[in-house]
Amino acid sequence: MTAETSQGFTASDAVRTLDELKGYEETLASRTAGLTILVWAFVVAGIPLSYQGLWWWLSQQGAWGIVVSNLLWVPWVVAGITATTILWRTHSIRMQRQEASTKDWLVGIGFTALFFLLAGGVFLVFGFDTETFAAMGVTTGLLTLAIAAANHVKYRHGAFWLPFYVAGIVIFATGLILVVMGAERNVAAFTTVFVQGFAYFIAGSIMVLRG
Amino acid sequence: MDLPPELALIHQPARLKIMGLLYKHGDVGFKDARDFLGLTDGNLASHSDRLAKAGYVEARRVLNRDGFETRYKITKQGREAFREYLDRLRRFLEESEGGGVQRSDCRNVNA
Repeated sequence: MTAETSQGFTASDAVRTLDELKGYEETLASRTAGLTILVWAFVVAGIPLSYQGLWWWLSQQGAWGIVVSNLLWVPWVVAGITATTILWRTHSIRMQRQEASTKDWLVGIGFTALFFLLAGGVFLVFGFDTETFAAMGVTTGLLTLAIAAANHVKYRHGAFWLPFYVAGIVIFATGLILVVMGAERNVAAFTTVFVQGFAYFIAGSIMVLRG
Repeated sequence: MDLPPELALIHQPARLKIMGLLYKHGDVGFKDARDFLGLTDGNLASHSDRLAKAGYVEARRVLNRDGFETRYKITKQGREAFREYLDRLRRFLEESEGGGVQRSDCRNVNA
């Protein structure tokens, strides 16, 4: 065997081409992960915003108010999972789209279940009279850190997930400060909406740009 | 690297990328492949056509949400040829001393 072909495309070139192929895939997946976090910025800001917006109305509805308040987060999470699934279908090249879609939904449902477990833990630790939006912030911060750690271990090492870790820490710390301060509901609600949305938006933007 | 004609066809940048992509993903749409590989429409079409004529790739028109799209699928013959190409590439690199290339690099696609 000789190193050159008649076209001048060497074995080393072939190896580099194959390596580039892997690099393209990682970049594409990384950008899609960043876009996913941008989508979820709206979800994590939308959930507390809708609770705060409907707080007075819900408190007037008696039993119905309790039912609605238990389900108010559902449309946001369903919209988030749907958008995420479409995003990954659009931006990634997959051989088995249906299986991947089912897996996406199961992962989404799994993390939602984890959110409620964490929320239960937060109320157990801080007491059941803890301000709801502050507890929501602490829980979302912990969930964000869990998601970052899971993705870090499974998909990509290095600094790629660092912005998402930072987002989780910022959200957690803000929630904790609100709990300790005993912040009034309106303050806690709007702080949580702003910090959660902003932290996810910035983290997602950095991850998209860095690829 | 000397290769028999049926494998020399793969040993070209665009065709190697197309084969690598299809080897890993099996079935890929025209737009996805074009954007992913950074090829022009004409480049992708002409190189895929050459691979199809060799029996390595199948092209078919399918109807999806955005209308008709060409999808490419690697054939059994294409899969075997690509595997043979990677084996020969690896053997060549193993036989070359100080070629400045890491042998592990060509395992990325083969995994």
